[in-house]
Amino acid sequence: MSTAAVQYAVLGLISSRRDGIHGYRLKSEFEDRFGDFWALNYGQMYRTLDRLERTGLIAGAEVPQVGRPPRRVYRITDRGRKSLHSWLELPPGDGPRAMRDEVAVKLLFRSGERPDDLVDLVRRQRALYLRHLSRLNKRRARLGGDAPESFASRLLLLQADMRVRTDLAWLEVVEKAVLERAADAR
Amino acid sequence: MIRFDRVTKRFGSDATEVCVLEDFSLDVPAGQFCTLMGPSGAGKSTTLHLLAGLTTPTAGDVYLAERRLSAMSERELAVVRRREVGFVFQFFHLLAYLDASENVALPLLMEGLPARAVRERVDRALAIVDLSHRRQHKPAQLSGGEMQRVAIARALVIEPRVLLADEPTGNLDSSASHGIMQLLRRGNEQLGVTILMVTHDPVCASYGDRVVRLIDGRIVEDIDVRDQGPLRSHA
Repeated sequence: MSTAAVQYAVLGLISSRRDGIHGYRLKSEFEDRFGDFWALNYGQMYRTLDRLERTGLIAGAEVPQVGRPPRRVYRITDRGRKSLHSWLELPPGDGPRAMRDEVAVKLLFRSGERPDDLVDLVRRQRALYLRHLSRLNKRRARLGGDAPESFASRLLLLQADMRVRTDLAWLEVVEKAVLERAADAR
Repeated sequence: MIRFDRVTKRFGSDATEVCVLEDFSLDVPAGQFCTLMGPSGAGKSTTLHLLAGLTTPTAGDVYLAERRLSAMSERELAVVRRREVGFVFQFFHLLAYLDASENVALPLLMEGLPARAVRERVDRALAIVDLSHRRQHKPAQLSGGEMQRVAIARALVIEPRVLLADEPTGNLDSSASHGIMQLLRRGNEQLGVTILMVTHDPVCASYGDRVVRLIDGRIVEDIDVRDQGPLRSHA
């Protein structure tokens, strides 16, 4: 997810909360809506909020709490709403998904290694993908109703399925090629 | 619940001999949902056929609920198949001239259960697969996903200890496949049925607790799918 996309995802979530939202709640809502696709740690969340506030797209205000330090609640500004609207109208700027997963990079630098080590790399990655699919299945089972969020989430889950399926198919090809090369060398 | 102990299975003889499973050991505890994956010819379906008693090992032993299948008579095996093992196949195998409830009732009728008990259990099985409203539909009036639901109800109606599924979504589109897998998951979690499923589809395999990969009749990977660490940052 590009920095801009993360910013607008956060801005979109804030825009849906008329009474404002604090960082901690925002983080859990982000996880709920996007957590299967993008992880954002607290540091990244607060940096994003800071950037949005500095550019005037949101406004933060300290709200006192009983027996606790005050917390900062964020609301979208008019400028933020206009910016979000223009961004949503823009055609997506992403090209095809970049080849940037770790296994591809590691393969580039480790292709001369022992076949067993390469196969091990592939298999670790496969286990990771299968667990990711299992997590997506649980999320799919929780989706219900005809709410627009569920509709969009179902389509996003389908996209994630298709991507992981392709990645797993590629791992099969890599594994087969490594094993065949090792057999030829014997 | 299911155990393969150093099983070898060869087909043919001499020059035409093919070794489908070699020194294959697998232990599936009661209540586990285990999936077998691997390329064609890896030996996946043979494991199901061995468990169903449809073929016998060349060497080694197959156990079902701590009973060694090779020590059982043909008659005892038939009873185990009828009462303790449910089967789900890729092509549903429903009888075209019977409606959904009659198809589901078949295994119970073979057991000679009284009509009232049959009706109650069929109702329950159809409710589990969310098909109570289609009970009087013939297979030709059902979608592929619905036909597979009927087949699952027929497998569950005997209240089996073990369910064997061979590519249960191989003939379905993605959306129907998810529906079927959610159903199998529910059967496993709510009824405690031990499941061994063969699939080539990683998305379906990921519904299990465990994925075992076979290549050339040997286990090359045994993955705990439900062991989930936190998602790493991609932002």
